[in-house]
Amino acid sequence: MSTLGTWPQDIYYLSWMTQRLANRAPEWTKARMWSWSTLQQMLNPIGADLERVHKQLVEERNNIFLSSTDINLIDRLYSVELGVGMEFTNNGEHDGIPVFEQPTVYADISDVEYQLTIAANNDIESLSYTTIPSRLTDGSESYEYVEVIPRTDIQDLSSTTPNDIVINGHLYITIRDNSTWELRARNNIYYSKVYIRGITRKGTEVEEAVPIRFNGTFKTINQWQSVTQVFVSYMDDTAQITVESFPYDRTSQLDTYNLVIPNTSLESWRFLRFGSKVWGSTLVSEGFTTNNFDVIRQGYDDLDYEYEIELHDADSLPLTLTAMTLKPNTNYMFAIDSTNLYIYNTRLPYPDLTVLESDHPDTKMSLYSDRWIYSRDDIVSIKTDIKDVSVVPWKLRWGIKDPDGQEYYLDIDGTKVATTVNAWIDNDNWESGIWSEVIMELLIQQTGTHQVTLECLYSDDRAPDREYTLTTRFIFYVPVAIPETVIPLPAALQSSSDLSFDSDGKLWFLSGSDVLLGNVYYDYYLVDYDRNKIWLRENYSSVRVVI
Amino acid sequence: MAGRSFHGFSFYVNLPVQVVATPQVRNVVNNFDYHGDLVSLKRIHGESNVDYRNRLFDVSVHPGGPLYEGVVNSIARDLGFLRTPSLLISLSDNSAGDPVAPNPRVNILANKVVLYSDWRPDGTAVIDREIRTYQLDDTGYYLDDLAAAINQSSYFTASLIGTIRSNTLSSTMVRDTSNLVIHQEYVRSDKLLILDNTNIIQNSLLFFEKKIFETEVLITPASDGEYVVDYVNGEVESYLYPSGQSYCSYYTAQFPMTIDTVPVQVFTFQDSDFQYELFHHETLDSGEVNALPNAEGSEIYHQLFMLSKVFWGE
Repeated sequence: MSTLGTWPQDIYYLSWMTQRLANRAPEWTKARMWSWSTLQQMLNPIGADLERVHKQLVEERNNIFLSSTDINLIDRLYSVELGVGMEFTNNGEHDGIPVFEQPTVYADISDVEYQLTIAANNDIESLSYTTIPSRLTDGSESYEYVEVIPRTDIQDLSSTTPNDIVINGHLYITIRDNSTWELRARNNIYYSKVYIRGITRKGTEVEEAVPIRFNGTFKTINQWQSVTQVFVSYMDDTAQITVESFPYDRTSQLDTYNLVIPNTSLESWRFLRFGSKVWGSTLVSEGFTTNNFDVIRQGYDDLDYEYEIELHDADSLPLTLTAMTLKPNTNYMFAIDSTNLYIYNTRLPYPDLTVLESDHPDTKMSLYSDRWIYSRDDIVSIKTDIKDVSVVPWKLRWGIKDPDGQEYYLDIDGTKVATTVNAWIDNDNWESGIWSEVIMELLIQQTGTHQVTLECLYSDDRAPDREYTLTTRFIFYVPVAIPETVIPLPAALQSSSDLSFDSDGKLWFLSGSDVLLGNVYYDYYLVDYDRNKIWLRENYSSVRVVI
Repeated sequence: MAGRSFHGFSFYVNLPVQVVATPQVRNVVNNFDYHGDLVSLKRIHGESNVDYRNRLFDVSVHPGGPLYEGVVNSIARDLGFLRTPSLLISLSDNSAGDPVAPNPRVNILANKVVLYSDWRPDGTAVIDREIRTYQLDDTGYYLDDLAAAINQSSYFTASLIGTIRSNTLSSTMVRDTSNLVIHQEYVRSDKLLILDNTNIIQNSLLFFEKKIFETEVLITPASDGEYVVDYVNGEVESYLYPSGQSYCSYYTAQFPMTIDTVPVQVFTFQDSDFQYELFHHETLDSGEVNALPNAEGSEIYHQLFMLSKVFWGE
């Protein structure tokens, strides 16, 4: 007997909405500029709720149109009623609320009985919208994958005949190396567009104009069943275009569900891609360098690094992943290597702030850095900022506490030394009463929350016995994501090079030149204690409920 | 299995602790149902979002209505069936690349497919062949047999579309005709008029400006009122300039013709083709034709009388 289903880890995330709220504070405040300032710690739960509201609005906006309505909306549930005279075991009351014993539910899948997992909160939301897959099977459906227009120079587009659409649905247009974004003539501005003419999935003949604002991947509004012609206007001859059923040719994936909000207020769409390191893969979150689309469509479509999350396997070891796709309207990313499907949450995990110890209340020194989030092998540079120039330290000593709890002193070039060593560094200009800012640079070797400590020793010539030490702290964070679940790939889907969801919510794997269907299942149940029922997300031939 | 027990006044029963059952499906209303409410299309019990969305897509493409096609569309869609393009009929070309048939027309009727090699609105109707589709022993009962029968014609070719089953019943074809009437088409002020359609039916082309288009000639027009028509390509050349403020009307044969099938068919008793299938057609010694209902006809009449309030003696 094996159990189906695992539940997402109970991780606390930093909401991007928190920064939007904090951006109402002045730029010189630590509250605004530091993601884990007390203000932002306080705002984060509110930010998370507002983020949920924002997402609901995005979903509702998409649901206005039939072809963009979320296909994963819950459409049907399966129920099993307890027999006559049966009811769930009542274990008495707690504060006036009856407490029931949780039943055990088994389901037959291909004549094998599996134990199902209860939805985390025993509610519809955790059953349907925040669930992660429990099972992946070979869908036994495959097609030879041909792009509608394989990557082609714009100048050759007119002589290229569109291929048949493999899977009916939205099309993805990827533009590369274009530099013309508008043409001004006769008091008009003409913008770059890609036109797709063909028959929609409805059966109507349509020509859709897709405005192109930057080099990237764009999705059509219509769902298509055949394309007769693709043509463009006001684009470079040397630019390249790809039109395809699945966005396999894209370099970066637009996360339509989240935004990038830096403390500079330059809000942007969020783009996700894998970063490749010698030790494995990372998830790189990026946004436009500017938030002004009038500027972006002039060609300033560079992406700026927001942060990078190291991706680990279930044993917390780095791994190299092949491809990923975001599940629409969720925070989940489906990623594969040659043997497994990994489900990750794409949000930024929260650092362990309990690591941070208090500064000395009278500290005269402050520590700062340009960034708070780093990845492994980065060099962190921490700068000092003196608050009271009338009192300069005589000596200073750097220390670091690594995420594994080990504490070290740091010498002047950032090398870790044991805490038994005398690591005090003299301020050479102390006698002149001068302080010059110090920059500490150190190489990151571990993931997690690091605390850097600066101890400043103050002394007075006239009273040598009245030496005192003031301590300042600083933390930086190297985020890491552990998969919510790992599902072994069925033999046919192993060694796939890419994966993507189609417009019907089905998951397709690109293997060689074929696309193969993978069936994703969510084997969870809800208990309806009032009505003596079990609700299931998947359909099974037989279900056994033991109360 | 250790059962829970319930002790009553004078009896004792073991209550079961487990149930084994087949789950029952139940729909959960979501945004697709809201879209469905706007077009009066309910979700079928247990239908998935994907299937329901495909039916919702179909509403504007195959609209319902009070006439034959609208009724078929609406009943089929409500039952969860969608029209499938199934049979493609094209024209056979001669060595010059023009259609062999001078004025081709295909009619899909209640019980047969009629192929005309020359059909004109003036009463000319040269039937190439009629292929019956209603009874099991009819030539065209199954769609692949129908296609084979059409392919025997020297005027038309037919093939099944896509993955349609070859033993699809031909009576599931949606009734249709290849001919389309263009009631009004603008005539530009130009001696060479290119019509919107090709395969124009002879004798069907009418111009409002009779003086410009007075006499149809076979060669290049040479005097006032003369014009020549290229029926295959839909081109008209006149001797005089049209005013640019008038119209013409004509019939066009729309080929290749795509015929849909849908497992819902609507028949009416007023349809003589349908009546043909419900009555005996034997000629009696007296010379009269026996028009008594056959077994199917009687059954249908019986069923209808059961439903209606019309019965004997009232």
